[in-house]
Amino acid sequence: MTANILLVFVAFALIIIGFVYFKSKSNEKEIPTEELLKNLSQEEQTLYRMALKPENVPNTFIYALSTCNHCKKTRAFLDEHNVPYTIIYIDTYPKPIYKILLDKLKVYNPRGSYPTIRLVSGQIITGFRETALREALIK
Amino acid sequence: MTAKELYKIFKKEEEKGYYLHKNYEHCIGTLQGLVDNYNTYGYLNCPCRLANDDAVKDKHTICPCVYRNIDVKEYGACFCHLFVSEEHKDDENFFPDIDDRHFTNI
Repeated sequence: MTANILLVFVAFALIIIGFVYFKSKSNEKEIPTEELLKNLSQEEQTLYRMALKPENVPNTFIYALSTCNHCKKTRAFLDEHNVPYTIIYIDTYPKPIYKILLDKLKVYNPRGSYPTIRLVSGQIITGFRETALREALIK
Repeated sequence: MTAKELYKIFKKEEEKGYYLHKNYEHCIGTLQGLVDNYNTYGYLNCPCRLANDDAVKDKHTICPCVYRNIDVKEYGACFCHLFVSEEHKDDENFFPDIDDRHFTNI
């Protein structure tokens, strides 16, 4: 009888410990992202929010990597033709944040190549496609 | 390490049938991304892919990445268009669309 009560008590204690552990784990995932966001500059925070809702951006929005040569060529091309654009370098953000950005990028480009370019029309161009950019953006 | 030094090192890959892209400016730009990653992470992570800042986790994307050979075979070029097959070694404008085989592993 005493052994049964002890067993129930131990099981109950384990459930409580498990609940507290998983609760703290789930909180761990949320808190750093928010805190990391606070540590970013105002410009980085703005770009982050734009990247999550590029449909609200009034010009072409580019998801890029700072090391990617096709991204540099895309910028040079748009600059040369005076095309306004907004660009976010995903790799310059802390990992928990860039994972969120990556999830957003997957929505537009499941292939995951850079740059991923979202035009105001909603059209997506991936990679440095001079002809496609010219047709879509140069009057 | 500089991009030009890396160019000379990777030039030796031609012996295995993997040629540096004919467009030299593109090569140097891509290699500069590799050098930047080397300076940041300590290893030559592919400049066209996100790094995890962990050489073990990123072992598949250290240049030449494990996907290069199969991409060159299937598309004629690697994901960054740094290496191309013998068939396309003289084509300065060869930049095919390539699916990232690594993307789902992030």
